[in-house]
Amino acid sequence: MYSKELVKGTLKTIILNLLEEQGKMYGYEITQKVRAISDGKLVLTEGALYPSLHALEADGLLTTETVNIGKRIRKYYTVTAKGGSLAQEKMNEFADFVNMMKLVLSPKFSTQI
Amino acid sequence: MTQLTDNQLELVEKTILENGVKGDLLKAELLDHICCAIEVELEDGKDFYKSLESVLKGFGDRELCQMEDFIGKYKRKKSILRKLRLSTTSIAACLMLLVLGVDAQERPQIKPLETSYRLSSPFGTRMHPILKEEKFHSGVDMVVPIGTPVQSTADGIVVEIEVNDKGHGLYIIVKHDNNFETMYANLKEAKVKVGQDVEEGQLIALSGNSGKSTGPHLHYEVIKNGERVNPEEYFSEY
Repeated sequence: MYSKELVKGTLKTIILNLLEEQGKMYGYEITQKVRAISDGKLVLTEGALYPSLHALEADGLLTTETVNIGKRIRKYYTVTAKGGSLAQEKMNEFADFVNMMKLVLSPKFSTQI
Repeated sequence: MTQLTDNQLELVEKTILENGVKGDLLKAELLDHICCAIEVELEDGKDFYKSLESVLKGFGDRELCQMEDFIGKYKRKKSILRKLRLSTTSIAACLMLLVLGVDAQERPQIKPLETSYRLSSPFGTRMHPILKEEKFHSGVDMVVPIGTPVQSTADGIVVEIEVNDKGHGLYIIVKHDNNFETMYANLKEAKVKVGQDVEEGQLIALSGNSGKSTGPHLHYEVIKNGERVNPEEYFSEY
């Protein structure tokens, strides 16, 4: 498992991109999907996931629909157009960040200076 | 895929959420999440009660603070698991953990300003900009133009709106629960009244330059059990 800080900074990017790719998903499904894709290395806790989902919804980046599963109610999330473009933006930003970090943390780079 | 029977569902719901979350959709969402997790354990051959126990334990062990903030947003004084009725003591024990965690809800968790700002003076001991001597600074000074919207940093009730010409100028105090209060000072205009309920993120005032001030800014304090604490520790990134 990665540190909370790392996950925290990338959580919205993960959610937006996952939903952009997979279409509609519900909370538990998201946690399981992320766990499976990351081979168990990235575990989203409920305490981190749901506040983010609700915040993204409040910001108009996600829409929701509810489906009855027997007596249960399942809430599905989908990205809006606004959310989709932010997903792309966030992904680009993150890719750029990773490249920059590689540079900054590269020992070769630091010895050259 | 195994699906819980109606009776099991009812038991899960009763156990976890009785007298708890007010928002129906949120309650339904959490319930569905927990049921899904239990169903996966059932698939693995565990019995229902063992599954329920381990899923709830998982909840208890994980980031309680965040869960507490999340739940705190949607409900006030009630604890999610206050009325648990499970015989197993081990379940009771791990639920107690959750109860204790959830009880301390409504801590400030966002910034009082949505716009960007410059932090001109942090919390702690500093050289006073006007008195030119070492003084303890009981909050943070956030430089923004006069008239910038100021929001409540958690759900609560407005307990004080006063003008104090010597220091804070026009200020508002919001009480969040038994532990936390927040103060917003050097304001231009209050947008709420004493006794009014406010929600996290609700506009409560416009920033200004009132009181003892060297320029337009918001002075913001977090008061925990009567003591000033560093507000920056309550600026969540969510």
